[in-house]
Amino acid sequence: MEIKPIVSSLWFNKTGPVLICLQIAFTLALVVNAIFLIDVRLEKMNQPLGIDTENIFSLSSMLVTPVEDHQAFMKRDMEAIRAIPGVVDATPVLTVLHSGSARADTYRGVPELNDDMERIANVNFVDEHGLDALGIELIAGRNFRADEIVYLEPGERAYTKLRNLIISESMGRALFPEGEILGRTVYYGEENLHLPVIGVVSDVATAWMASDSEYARGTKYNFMLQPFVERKTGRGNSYMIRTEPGMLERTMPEVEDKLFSLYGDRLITRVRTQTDTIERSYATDRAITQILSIVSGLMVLITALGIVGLASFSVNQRTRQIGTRRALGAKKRDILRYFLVENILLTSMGVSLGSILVYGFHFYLFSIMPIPKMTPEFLPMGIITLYVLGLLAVMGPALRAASTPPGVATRSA
Amino acid sequence: MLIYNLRLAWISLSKTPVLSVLMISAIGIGIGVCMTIITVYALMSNDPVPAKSKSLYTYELDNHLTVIEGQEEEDPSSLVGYRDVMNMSASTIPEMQSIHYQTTGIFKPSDQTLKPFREVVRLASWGFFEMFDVPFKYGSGWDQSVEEKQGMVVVLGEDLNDRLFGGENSIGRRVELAGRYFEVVGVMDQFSPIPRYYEVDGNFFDDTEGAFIPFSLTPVLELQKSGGSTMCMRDPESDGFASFLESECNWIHHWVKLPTTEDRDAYLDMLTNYSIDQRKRGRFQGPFRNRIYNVNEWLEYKEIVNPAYVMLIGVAFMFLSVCLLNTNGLLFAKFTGRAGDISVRRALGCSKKRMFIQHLVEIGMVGLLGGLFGLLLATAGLFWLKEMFVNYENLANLNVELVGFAIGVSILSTLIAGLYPAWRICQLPPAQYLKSQ
Repeated sequence: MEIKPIVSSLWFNKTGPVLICLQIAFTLALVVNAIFLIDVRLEKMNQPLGIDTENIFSLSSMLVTPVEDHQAFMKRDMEAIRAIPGVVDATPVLTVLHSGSARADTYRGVPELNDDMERIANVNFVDEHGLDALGIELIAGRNFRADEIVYLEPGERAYTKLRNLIISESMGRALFPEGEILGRTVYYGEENLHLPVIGVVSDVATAWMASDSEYARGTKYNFMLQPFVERKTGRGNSYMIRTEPGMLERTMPEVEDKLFSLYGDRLITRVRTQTDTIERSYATDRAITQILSIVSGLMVLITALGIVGLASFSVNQRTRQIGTRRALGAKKRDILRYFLVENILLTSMGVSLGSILVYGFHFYLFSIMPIPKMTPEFLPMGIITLYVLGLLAVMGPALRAASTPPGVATRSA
Repeated sequence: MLIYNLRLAWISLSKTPVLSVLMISAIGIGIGVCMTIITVYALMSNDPVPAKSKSLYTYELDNHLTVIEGQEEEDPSSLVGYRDVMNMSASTIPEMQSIHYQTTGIFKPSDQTLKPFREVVRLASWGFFEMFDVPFKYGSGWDQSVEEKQGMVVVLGEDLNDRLFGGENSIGRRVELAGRYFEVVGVMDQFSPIPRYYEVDGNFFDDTEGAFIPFSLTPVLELQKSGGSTMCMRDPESDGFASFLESECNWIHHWVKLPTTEDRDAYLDMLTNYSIDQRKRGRFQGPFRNRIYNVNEWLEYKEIVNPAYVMLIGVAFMFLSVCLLNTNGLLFAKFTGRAGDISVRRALGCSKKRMFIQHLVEIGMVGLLGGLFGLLLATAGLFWLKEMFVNYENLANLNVELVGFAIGVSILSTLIAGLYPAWRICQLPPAQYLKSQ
């Protein structure tokens, strides 16, 4: 083969090739790591949340003038919302799910006061319509009954009124690694409250679903529901409302109007679709994913343009040599092959150095942020991409070189 | 001479338009990406009070009530309970201090035609305004005596004053907030430190609160904290706000001004003594891991800068270096291709030095054009980020410093990238190339 003359020609004029190799190496290091980071984030952003996100919206209602009977007030609000056509169900909640704001508390699966046995849970409050209003699937046991819902006054301590719980499957496994979950007793606090599990629901993501820390990732489905409706001072009550598919946009203003017509002396704010809420929770992830995609794309583009630029330049420089080779009997495809082989050699050197840089950069990233270890398929994918990219980039100039007429050699410059 | 060099540079660049465009775009894209990412990073890692960031402190008081194995690994609470904060604030070591927390209140405009609205309100003790350099448009904050008398006074934010009083001087006017009347004593000028370091609990980059009222009103108004966390070491003994204040729940922010390191050490000693005293009284039982942080230490400890942004800075510089390598390669190719011209000029008596300078001028021109293109891209990039993502609303626009910086970095880095090709080309023996002509 003609590798030897190619190598010696590269060696003779080594600065340009060395620069291209370095460029390919850096591009590989950055692009492989970027794609890996994007992949990790996309996977996180697509993780199941366990509720009917697409058909839910939330709002905050704050009373300008407080009412006497808060329980009756809340019941009337909820009944009115549920009666609106297109609404599937509605519930007051402690905090809007997946909004980043939440209550977290620890519970035990054993009665002994033992810190090692405390398991963190993301606690939310709902009324007896909670499961239906959020689209949470009940796996075992039952829902809260209407008479079990406690309406709390400001400053009233919820836990003293707590009689039973509904927990997610993951929470159940965290508390009780073995056996049935339904019907077991959960223990809380120094007072050692005994709380029977009356229902087990399929996993619902916690408020810390967007966090990258290992602890957060390990507990991201530890979810718990308690039968409470709060009355708040200093902030509003949050409602979550689920609609029939496709009815969300139409229903939102109707619910608002209905609530105002029931009681005008209130403020309704943060009327948000659940999709919007989640987008806010993942805003940083989305921004970083998009920045990384754009930067990787540009990097690949720049490297490709660099290859095109250098190749066309070297074709121009070597027009006479190419002409001479053609005159001496080299076929078009020989010239074409020369440039393609040259490019493959350059890419090979670049990706060899780049493979080391990929892992160097990965370990640097690993040291500054919580990320999983890179799985091995990313590197070969990056290497193949760079080979293809290099060949595509060099194709144009190489074809032009191949079409050099042999006569050029004999003409003077 | 410079004009002549510039003209030659321009001629040379326009002779190889494709190469020139490639070089300028490579530099431009590199600078554009770098500037965009640096601006984002600068927003995230901004020092909010450069003049005071080393003398303002907040602390963590370890108030664990039980001793449990493995507790050493757990951080103490970053918030303080009401009882402890009241005890702490009696200390005379700090030059200034402020206790504060955030709530939401409903404002009722006196103009009945306007609808009531909700606004973020901060209950803060009187030292807040001076300590955090709050600028005032009208009036001022309240003083210690008003604080002690639990005076019903309010400092309005600029926007809120516009909304309630059409931006007039509203000192002495009455405002209805949370069902009570407050007298306006001050109207703030634009005040929005980024990040909002005195409360990093909720959203770090939120707009600042619309109004401030005295912290001493806490037990009177019974307004619950909003938008941040409350951590209870033990649940309150009984229902009601008074019991919550007496409880072992941590929820208040406390900042102190300690001008010297001696003050800082003295304050830390005071915290330790307090812990020991509380242990004697049967309260704190955990290991005494009290800590104290200045503004920058605090922002770092609280990981206000998402490590992903540190990563992006690494990516940005890696990207820029690839762009420079690219330009370097292209320049090299270009200069090599001009060996003939250069040899002729050299043979005609042009010195190596002048030849070198001329190449540098040409490289500088590529850098300048690339920098300008980069600025255009950075402006577009920042605009895109602001449009797309809610958490970048406060993102700065490019300012004069950044523009200068971008052009400077662009020219400098291009020069560095071009130094070697320019030097190499000037070392060529003219005779060799003249022969081949």
